[in-house]
Amino acid sequence: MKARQRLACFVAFVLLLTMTAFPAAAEDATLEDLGFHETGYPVVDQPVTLTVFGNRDQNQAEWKDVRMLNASAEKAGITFDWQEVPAQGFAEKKNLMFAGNDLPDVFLRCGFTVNEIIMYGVTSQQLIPLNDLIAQYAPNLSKIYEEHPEIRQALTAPDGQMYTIPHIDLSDTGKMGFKQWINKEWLEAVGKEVPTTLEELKDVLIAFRDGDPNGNGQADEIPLGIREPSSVYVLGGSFGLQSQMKDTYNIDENGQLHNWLCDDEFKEYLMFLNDLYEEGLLWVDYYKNDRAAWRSNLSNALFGVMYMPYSDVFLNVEDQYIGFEPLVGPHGDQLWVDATAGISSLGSFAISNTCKYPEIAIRWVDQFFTEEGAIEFCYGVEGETYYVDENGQPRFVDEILNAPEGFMTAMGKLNLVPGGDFPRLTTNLTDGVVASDLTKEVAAMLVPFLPETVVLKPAVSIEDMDMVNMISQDLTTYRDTAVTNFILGEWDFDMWEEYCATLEQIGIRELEAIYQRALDAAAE
Amino acid sequence: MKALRRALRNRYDLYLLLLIPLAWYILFQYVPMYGLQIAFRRFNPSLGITASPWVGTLYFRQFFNSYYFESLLVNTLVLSIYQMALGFPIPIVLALLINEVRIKPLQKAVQNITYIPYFLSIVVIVSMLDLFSDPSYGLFNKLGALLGAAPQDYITRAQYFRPLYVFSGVWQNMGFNSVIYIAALTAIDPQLYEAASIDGASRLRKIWHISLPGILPTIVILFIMRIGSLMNVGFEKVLLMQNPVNMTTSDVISTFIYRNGIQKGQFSYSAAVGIFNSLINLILLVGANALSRKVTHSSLW
Repeated sequence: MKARQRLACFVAFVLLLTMTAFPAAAEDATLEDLGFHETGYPVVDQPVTLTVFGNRDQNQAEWKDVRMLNASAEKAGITFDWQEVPAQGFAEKKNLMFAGNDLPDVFLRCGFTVNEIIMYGVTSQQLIPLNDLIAQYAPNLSKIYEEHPEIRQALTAPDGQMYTIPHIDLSDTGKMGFKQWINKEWLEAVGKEVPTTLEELKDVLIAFRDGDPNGNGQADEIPLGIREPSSVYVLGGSFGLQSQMKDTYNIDENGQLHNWLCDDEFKEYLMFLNDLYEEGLLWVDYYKNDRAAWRSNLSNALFGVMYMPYSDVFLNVEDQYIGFEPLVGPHGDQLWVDATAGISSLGSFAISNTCKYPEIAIRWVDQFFTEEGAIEFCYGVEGETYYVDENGQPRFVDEILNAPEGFMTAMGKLNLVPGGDFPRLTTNLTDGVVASDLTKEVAAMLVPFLPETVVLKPAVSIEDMDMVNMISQDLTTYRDTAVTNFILGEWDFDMWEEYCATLEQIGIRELEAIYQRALDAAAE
Repeated sequence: MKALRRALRNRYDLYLLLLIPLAWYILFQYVPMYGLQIAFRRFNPSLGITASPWVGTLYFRQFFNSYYFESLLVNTLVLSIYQMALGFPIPIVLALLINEVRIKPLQKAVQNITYIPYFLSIVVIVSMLDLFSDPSYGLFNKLGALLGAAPQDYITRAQYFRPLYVFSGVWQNMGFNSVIYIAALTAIDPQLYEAASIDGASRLRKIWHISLPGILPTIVILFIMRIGSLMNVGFEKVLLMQNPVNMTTSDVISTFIYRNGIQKGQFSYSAAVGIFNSLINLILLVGANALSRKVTHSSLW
C-alpha cells in the first residue's frame, strides 16, 4: 500500500512539472492589445518578444551584449530573443532550419542569395512577402526605393514580391567591392613609380620580390596579394572582362549578356596570372582560403600590391599604402569591374511565416534606413562614443579607434557592422564607420573607371530554377578547379580547348540564356 | 514454431532485453527511411515530406546527366578500392608479425605504438599532412630533397591526393585494426604449433599453414563488411583535404552531397544522390557475400 502511495505521489509530481514546463498557450494578443503605433517610438506599449536568428561575425560580441542593437530594440519597446550562430557552419544551420520548418520570427544577417529567396520565399513561402508591409510601415525604406528604382527591381522576385531587406550602400566606397592598394614605402625603397600598365606592374612586382623593400634582410615580401580563388577576377578590367551580376559576365549596350569564361581575353588574363605565379609574384597560398594567414600578412604589411574592400583589418599599417588607378591592359582596356550597384548584400533581413507581428519587425528595421538612424546604430552616443568633426562627419572617439583589443572588436561590442550584411543605409556621411579616410581616397580614384551599367543577378522563374541550380553548381566547381589549375600551372594551356568544351557541356550557354530571359523580363 | 514458443517462454527475460536494441533499430534506422521519398518529390519544407509534389525520377536523371557524375563515381570507387587494397591486408600482416614477437614486453610495446595514432582526431592528421607538405620546411619536402626531388606542396596536388589519403589512413588505423586479428590469433590452439615444430616446420610455414587458416573466417567476415561500405569513403577527411586544385581527384559522392544538399539546401537532389550511393553499396555487399559463400563457405548470412 505504501509503495502505491509513493507511486501516486511521484506521478502527481511529474504531472505538476510538465504542467509548469508547458503552460497553456496564451491567446494571441492583437496589435491593438499591444498598443502598436504606426509612427513614432516606441513601436509598441506592451512588451513583445521576437526571436531572431542570425550569423555572428567573429568580431561581434554576443548579440545580447551589443549595445546599440539592444538600444534600438529598447527604443522600439521590443524584447529580442537572440539566437545567433557563429559564422562557421552557419550555412548548414540555416538550410537545416528551413528544411525542418522550425523558424524564428526574424532573420538578421543571414545573407540570403537570389536562389534562396526563390527557394524559401517564392516556392515554400517560409519567408513572407514584404511589399505591402514596407509600403505601409517603412516610410524611410519606401523613400529610398522611390529614389532608386533599380534597387527595388534587383530585390524583386519573379512573382513581383520582395522577400528581403538589404544593406543599401550609396556611398562612393560602397560602389565597388575590392579596391586596389600599393605599398608606397616599398616603391620608394626600390625606386619605382606607381605602375600604370600591366607590364609596369610586373616590373614593380619583380623589384618587390628581389629588392628586399622592407629591409629586414629576409625574402618574406609577397609582391601581389589576392585573397581567395573567387577574387582572381579583380584585374579583369584590364582585359575588358567585367563582373556583371557579380559573376563572369559582360553586358553590352543592347543589354546582351555574355559569359566570358571561354573568351580569348580570359585566356590571356589567366596566362598573365600564371606567369606571375610561376615567377613567385602572386601569393603562393592564395587558393587555400586561409583567412587567418591572409590577415596576418596584411597586418604585417607583407603585401606589395593587394586587393581589399576596406582597410579595417590593416589599419595599423594603413599609412604605408596608397591607391592607384586601374591598370591599362594589353588592348588598352582600363576598367574597375568589381561594382556593386548600391546593394552591398541582398538578404540582410527577412521575416518568417510564423512571425506573429511582422509589422513590429518592419518598423524596427526601418529606423536604420535614415542617415540619423544609421549614425545612431553605427556610432552610438554622441559625446561618448563619437563626435562630429568640422566637416559634419561622425567620428569614433579614441577609446574605440585605438582600443587595446582592436578597433573591430571594440566596434563589435557597439554595433553589428563588422562582417557587414546588416540591414541599414550607408551614405557618404556614414561610410566612415568602416572606411577610413584613406579608403575613401583609394575608392575615389577608382570611381571614374566603373562600368556605366551595372546589373545584379536577376531572379529567374521557378520553372528555370532547377536548371539554374543544376548548371551553376557544376559550373562553379569546374570553373574554380580549372582556373586555379591554370594559374598554378598544373594544367597546360594546351588544355584550353578541352576546358571550353567542358564548359559548353556543363551548360554555360544555357545558363546565359536563362539569365538573359530573366533580365529582359525584369526590364519590361 | 513450437520450439520458438518454448524458447520464448523459458527465456522471456532475455528476449525482453533484446527488445531494447530492436526498438532502437526500428526507431532510428528504419522509421527515418520514410524520408527517402523526398528524392522523388520537389521538397518544400512548408508542405512537409509527405505533401510535397511528386517529380518522379527528375533528380536521378539530373544527377546521371550531370557533368560530374562520371568523375564522382570514378573518384569514389578508385579511392575506396585503393584504400581497401592497402588498408585491408596491412593490419593482417602486422598482426602476424606482432604475434611472432616472442619477447612479451617488446610485443606489447610494438602493439601500443602502432595503435596510438588511431586516437588522433582527423583534423590533427590533416593538419599534420598540411605541415609536412609545406614546400619550405615540410617533412615530405626535406625527405624529397635528400632524394633530389623539387619541393612541392603535395597536399594540394591532384596526383598526390590519393596516396596521401590512403597512406595516412593506413598509418593511423593499422594498429587498431590489427587488434581483432591478434585476438583471433591467440585463440589458435598452441598444440598445433607444437605439432608443427616437431614435424620440422619453419616459422613461415607455421604462419602459412596454421596462423592464416586460423584467422581466415575473421578475415572473410571483415572483408565482406568492408565491401559493404566501399562507397562510404571517410567524408570528413576528404572534405578537410579538399581544395580547388585537387578537386579532380578528391571530389567524391559524399562531399558532393554535402556541398549541394547541406550547404546549398537542395535536399531532394542530394537525397537522390544518396540513394544511388546506397544502392551501389547494397549490390556490392550482396555480391561479395554470394561470392564468399561459394568460395570459402563462410558468409554473413
